[in-house]
Amino acid sequence: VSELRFDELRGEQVVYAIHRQDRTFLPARDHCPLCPTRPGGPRTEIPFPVYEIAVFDNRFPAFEAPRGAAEVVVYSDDHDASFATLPAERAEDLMWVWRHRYAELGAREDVEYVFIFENRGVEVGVTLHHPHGQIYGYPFVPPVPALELAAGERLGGCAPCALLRRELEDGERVVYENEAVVAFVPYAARWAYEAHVSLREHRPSLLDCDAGELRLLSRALQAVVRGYDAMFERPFPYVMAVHQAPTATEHDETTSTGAHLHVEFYPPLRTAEKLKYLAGSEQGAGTFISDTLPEESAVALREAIARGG
Amino acid sequence: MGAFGAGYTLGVVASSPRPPQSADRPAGGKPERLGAPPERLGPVELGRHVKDDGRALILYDHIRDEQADVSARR
Repeated sequence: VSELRFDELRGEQVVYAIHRQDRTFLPARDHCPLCPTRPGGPRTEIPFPVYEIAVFDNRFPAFEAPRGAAEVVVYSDDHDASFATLPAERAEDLMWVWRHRYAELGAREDVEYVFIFENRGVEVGVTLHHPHGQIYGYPFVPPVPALELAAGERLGGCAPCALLRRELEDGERVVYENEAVVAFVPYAARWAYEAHVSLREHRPSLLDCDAGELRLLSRALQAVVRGYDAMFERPFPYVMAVHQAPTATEHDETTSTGAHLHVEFYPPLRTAEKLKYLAGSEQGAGTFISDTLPEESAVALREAIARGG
Repeated sequence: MGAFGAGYTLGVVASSPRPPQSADRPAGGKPERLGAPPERLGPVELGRHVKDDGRALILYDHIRDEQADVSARR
């Protein structure tokens, strides 16, 4: 069972989930717990020889009822697949799975924020290579979504809407567009190839999207990750973070105007071989020092997306 | 202990006359099926299960019949 402690100095929660110390760590391929369970083979988390998308309670949860939730979302039974290589139909299905989990976890009294994310690559701490993401149901609204809501109040409405308008007016950092979704390297990107993928229309969450928007969101997300993989012709590590409206009822009014579904990518690579580390300034002062300009990164990412197909 | 050992045999909490495609496949350990209607979400259908250790498992399958395709695009 995890323990929450409030850090008065920083004004934020810290979660102690010491049981996670023993979680499965980079197992051999033939002992992957996310692969299907094949007759005669080792048992896995998913006792079927074939599956499409699977969601299950994390065996090593950071949060669990009655104080939150932690789930694993497995994208495919193919150990070697990735979000980028999923067929378009499967990526679209995944949007519906996310939507379902947002609705179901968000309806729980003990979940105030549903956070869907993927850590890809050992560079960002992945412990299982099989293509998967995770969902945390936080029993509080975490600092980053809270900051986004505060930004909305500061900007007199929805911050992602306002920032998307600026990006579209400028155009220099836009890397991908379709009828419903825009991807761009943000004006004040922290990471060299950071990208935000945002709905054009104001949509607080996946529940507010129609089927066409979910389809186009999946297309945009795949375009970005395929672009990442094409960038240096190697699997590109990233953290993918889906930001949506908090599900706590006390945030209803604020979130209807201030929260906006968007997906943020934080890739740690700054060159093909060099990683960006969070060091003195980033950790000790909270200020990112970047070695690259977002406008130049956008050119490279736009070209890579074109190559990635 | 079930077919998959402790923690891995499934108890089914909801299933359907047309079970998820994952459950249809021959396997070393198919779950039992109950009569509850399937849950459909746009282009996917889900089947809920519970492992022996109490953890939930949901399998999502793409619906491949024509009617589902139409409803998914409404």
